[in-house]
Parts: sequence; C-alpha cells; structure tokens
Amino acid sequence: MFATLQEIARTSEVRLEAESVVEALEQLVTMHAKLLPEIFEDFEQRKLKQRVKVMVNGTDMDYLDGIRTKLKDGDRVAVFPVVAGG
Amino acid sequence: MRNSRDFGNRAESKCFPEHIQSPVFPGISPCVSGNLFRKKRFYSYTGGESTAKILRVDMNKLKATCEDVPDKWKNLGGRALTSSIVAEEVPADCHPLGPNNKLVFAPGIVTGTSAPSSGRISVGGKSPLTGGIKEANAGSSFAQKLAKLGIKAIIVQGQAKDKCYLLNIAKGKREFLDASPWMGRGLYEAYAQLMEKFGKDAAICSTGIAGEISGAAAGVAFNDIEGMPSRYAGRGGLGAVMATRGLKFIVVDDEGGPGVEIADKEIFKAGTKKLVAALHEHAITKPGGTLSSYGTDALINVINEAGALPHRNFSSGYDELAPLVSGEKKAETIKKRGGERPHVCSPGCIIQCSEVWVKEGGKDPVGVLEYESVWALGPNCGIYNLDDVGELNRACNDLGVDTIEMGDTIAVAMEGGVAKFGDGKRAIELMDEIRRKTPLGRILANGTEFTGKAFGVTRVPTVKGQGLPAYDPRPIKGIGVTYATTPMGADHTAGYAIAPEILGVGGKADPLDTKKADLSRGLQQATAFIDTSGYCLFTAFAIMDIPSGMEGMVESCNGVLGTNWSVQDAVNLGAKVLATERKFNKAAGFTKAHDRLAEFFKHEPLPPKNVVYDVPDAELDKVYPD
Repeated sequence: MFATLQEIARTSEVRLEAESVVEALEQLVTMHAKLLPEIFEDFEQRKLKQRVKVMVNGTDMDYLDGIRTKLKDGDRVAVFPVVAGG
Repeated sequence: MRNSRDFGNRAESKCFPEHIQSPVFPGISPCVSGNLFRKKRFYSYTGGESTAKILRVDMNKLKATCEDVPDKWKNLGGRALTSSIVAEEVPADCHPLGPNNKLVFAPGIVTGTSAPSSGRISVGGKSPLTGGIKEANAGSSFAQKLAKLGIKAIIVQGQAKDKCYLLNIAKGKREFLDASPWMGRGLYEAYAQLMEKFGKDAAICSTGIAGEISGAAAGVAFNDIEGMPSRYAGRGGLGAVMATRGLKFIVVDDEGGPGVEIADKEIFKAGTKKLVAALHEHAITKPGGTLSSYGTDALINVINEAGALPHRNFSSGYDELAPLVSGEKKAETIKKRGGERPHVCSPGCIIQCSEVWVKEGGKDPVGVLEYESVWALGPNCGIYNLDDVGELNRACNDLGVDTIEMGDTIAVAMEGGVAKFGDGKRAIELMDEIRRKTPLGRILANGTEFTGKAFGVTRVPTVKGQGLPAYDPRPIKGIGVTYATTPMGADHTAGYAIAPEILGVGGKADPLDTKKADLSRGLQQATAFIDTSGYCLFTAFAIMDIPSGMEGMVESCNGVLGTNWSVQDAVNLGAKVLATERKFNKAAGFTKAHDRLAEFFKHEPLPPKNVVYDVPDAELDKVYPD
C-alpha cells in the first residue's frame, strides 16, 4: 500500500493468503476498515473506486483479469490511490 | 524568418483523425460546436495596441533596448515565442557557445495575471548538450515580475569581452553591474547577498559555476519564494549559453510596472474560474491531493512497482530499497524535521507540489527535492539515503547544473569506475570537482554522453545527447517514443505518456503496446501549447480528465490576447511550435537517425520484467513523417 492508503493503514505491507485480487482486497479492508471507502466504490458489487490502481507483480490488473486475477504463492499486489508527478 | 509567420494562419490539419477522440482531451472531439469552439478567425489579435515589449540585450555593447513586438509574435508566449525567436534569429549551424547563439527568455501568455499555477518562464537557445533547439522552463516569481513589467521576451545576444555582468531591470531602468565578485561562488551564497542588495522581493535568474566552465549540463537557475536558487530551467545546457554571453545574473523588480494587459476581462475571468474548479476537483491537483501531500516524488513507489524505475545506471527497473527515498518517506521526514510541505514554487500556485527539504533539526534548507532529482541522484546512482540525495541536490542548485543530467552523469561515471554505486559521499565529492573546476569536474559538467566517452562506458542513456529522465522506456513504450522523437532530446515533459500508460490519467494505454506514435504526437502537441500558455504542466493532470478545465485554460488565453481560439486551435498551435523546432533541428543536421534511443535499450533486457525496447523504427518515424 502506498501514499494515503499507507498512512491510513499505518503500515505499508501485509501478508495475506488469497486466491485472487478481489479476495486479497476483501481481506485487506477487513483488517483495516478505514481503507474500505478509499478502495471500494461499492463493496457489495465489489466495484473499486475509479482511480485506485492495483498491480500484480508490476502489471496493472486491468491488463490481466482485473479484480478476478488469480494469485499464486509469493505474488506481490500493490495498491495505490491516484498519484502523479513528473 | 523561418516558421513563425505561420502562426498567423489557421492550420488546416487536425491533430487527431475525426473518428477518434483526442487521447489528450478525452470527451472533447476536435472542433465541436459551442461557445469555445466557434469557427472564426483564429490567432488574430483583437486586443488593441499592446504596450508589451521585447527587451534586446546586446552584450557586445552592454546595451539593453526595448523593441515593439512584431505582429507575428503578439499572440505568442513561453515556448512558442522562444522557439520562434531562436528559429528566426539563431543560425541553426552556429556553435552553441559561440558569438551567434542567443538566449531568449519569455513568460507564458497568462503569466503575471491572476490565472492559477501560471508562474512559468521559458528559456530558449541552441543547446550545447543536444546541438538542437532547446526550450527549458521553470516556475518562479521571476516570470511573473518580468511579465508585470511589460516585458514579453528578453533576447540576449553577443558576448561581453572583458568580464561577466549582472543586468538589473526595473521600471525605466536597465543597468549592467560587474558580476565578477560572484565568479566561482556558489549560488546559495550569491542569491542571499543579492537579496540583501536588491531587496527580498527581487527576482533573480543566473548561471552558476558549471556555466562558467561552459558545462553542457549547466542550467539556468531562478529564485524560489524563499530566495534560494532551487527553481531551474535545467535541461540542455542553457546555463552555459548564458555564461558565454558574459551574463551571470538578471535581477528584476516589477514595482510600478504596467502589469499584464487583459483584452477581455470577462472571458479571462470565466476561463480561470473553470480551470480553478477543475484543479480543485481532480484528486491529483486538489488541496490535500497527492501532489500537495507527497510532492512529485510520490511516483518513486509506483514506477518502482511497475518495474520501470531505473536503478544503477538503467540496469534494473525495481529495487526493494526504493521506498527509502519515496515521497511518502520524504513527506514524513519533512514533517518531523520542520521543513515545509505543501509549498509553492511561485506566488498564485494552487497545486502546491513544492516543499522545503531540510537537514536534521530543520537546518540548511535546500528547496524542493523533485521526483526526477531524487531518482537521478538516488536510485539511478544506487543511493537510497534522502540526506545524501538532499546534499547532492543542494550541490546541483549551488553549482548551477541540471539534476537529471547530473544524476545520469554520476551513474555513468560510477559505471566507468570513478566511484562505486551507492557511495553517496563519493558522489558529493564528485560535485566538488566541478566546484574546483578540475579536469574531472569539467568532464562531469559536460553531461552524460561526454562522461560516457571519457570513461569508455557503452550503457549511456541518452537521446540527442541528453540524459534520460526517471522512466525506463523498456517496460513503458510510449514514453520512449517521446524521448526519441521530441525535438528536445530525451525529455519526459515533452509528451508525458506516463499519464495514460501508468497513472490512468487522460485515458488508459497498455504500457507494453508498441503502437504509440499517435499518442506521443498528440501529447507533444498539447504540451507545446501548455508550455506556451504559461500554465504549469501539472495542470494537465486535471484538464486531461475534466474537459471544462481545458476549455477554461484556452478561454483564459483568449481573454488575455483577445483571440478566439478553440481547444483544437490550441493543439494546432502546439503542432506549429513543434514544426518550427524540427525545422531548426533539420537545418542543424538532425535526421531520423537522431530520433532513436541509445542502442543498449534494444538488446539489454531490463529486470524484473526482462523486456527490451521493441518499438519498431517505423513506428518512431510515424510521429513526424516529414
């Protein structure tokens, strides 16, 4: 987790056992309830906020299977709010 | 003249085919109807006779005289104006450090008005680093004061024979003072003394020690709001062009100046209101958004995670140590030490991405540590210590060198055995070689490519002789297309494909897709307009996603100039600027062979994704098929 998500969770990294991205995110917001409105637009529908970016091993999940992307042991999932610079 | 007369006519070509929407301005189709898009005469000046002048500074005669602005340049500012003047007045085949080059300063169209985040100044000339045309820009009160004084551009020409000078400009006053006492002195000390001499409201521009030794990595420094030399038109060696004119400083006082004329105050006000609303709405630029919370350095983690943050001279795209120099870490440290964040680079900025980095105990303020500077002087040199990065950044500001070029240079020197990767203390010692003007310092002050040749290094990350910025192009293809094809040499700001490729701003594009010619071209054109307008390029994050913001930006320019430009006209103006710049470069000897990345990107896979740069040359040539 990075930027505001890191500040809210007061940690940058958690270890989870999950079979997919959506399962990992569900576990994450269960562990840190304050992250739920930062990550999910509609939790019931499992719809992410528009600008939340999720990478799996450095690849944007939108170019994999989106929120349903399968995970395997050792995978690294990075979650960012929108950031920019130059 | 070369090309600038073309600005008087409406361009026929469109940037994007009719059937697609602009990747730069999603939601805006070219030439749609509506108040902003009505088709009338474009680029026409209807605001009456302007009193703004061009100040021509002849260093041969030590004379500075005001000239009327020719009609062909009346509607230009910033980059469009510097590039038009350079293209018309500088022989493309001249030596950049010789008598025939000129240095041009131009505030943007809306700079000096109440328009938000618009304190930008463009600096232009023939680059000693690339050998082509150069525009570098910075945010500083210097830009606003120049505009408020009624100066649309300064053209510095000739070369003082005996010594170097300080040009002091105020209402009705233009005097040359001997700047010799500041030769060989650091700019932090010099700016403090000049602020004492001319008053704390004075604005200062300068070249440093690196310029004094004609270093092609020398930038042009401007004051920040604390009066420190931390705002830079850094790229391309224009500091050396300034120094070889015999000009060390320009000091500006705008008291009693006429201010910037606004042809239609209602349109201007309506335009700026729309732009402010967009900047306040967008998650990146709004108060408390990521830019004001973490600064530009918030990108360290995201680009590292994407496997595209160059480490140890572009040998890897990821390192687990990167968070130690991230925006998050920096913001936390600044808060603890009593520095400042958020902060502005110039009065009137509502984005506030800047900061004041300080040492332990709040001592020795440096100014801002930008993402590019932190990367260049940090991970690219294997350095993951913010205090070392801060001291290297201080040294760059003090000596007057571009942080990106210097980071690439030190990394190449490390590759060549001059120092070990990760040795921050040795890197600081190398900067001292420049201060002492030693032979090694003179090599380093000439930049990445020069240093690579001196030490027999073949992994030299440059395009047209200019060092690459903080995004490895192997896993992000579009930014590589911009690096290769912009007239500026490797420059991320020239067409920031990172926004759609990584950040999901201004649309979305797969970073590994190699078909990026149209994307890069569109971004380069839009950027050339923003660099002309005087607005900070970071306004683009909001206006790429919020169409009314872009409309407001163009309307505010119309309000100042009395023009009736549409959004498409603005993009067309950007295209004309690029055509002017490319024509200059062609005359200077550039061919398609120069629109290429350094060779190693094609055959050295970048870990952890282990990809090479595989955009075909034919795709690169599609950006500018002329």
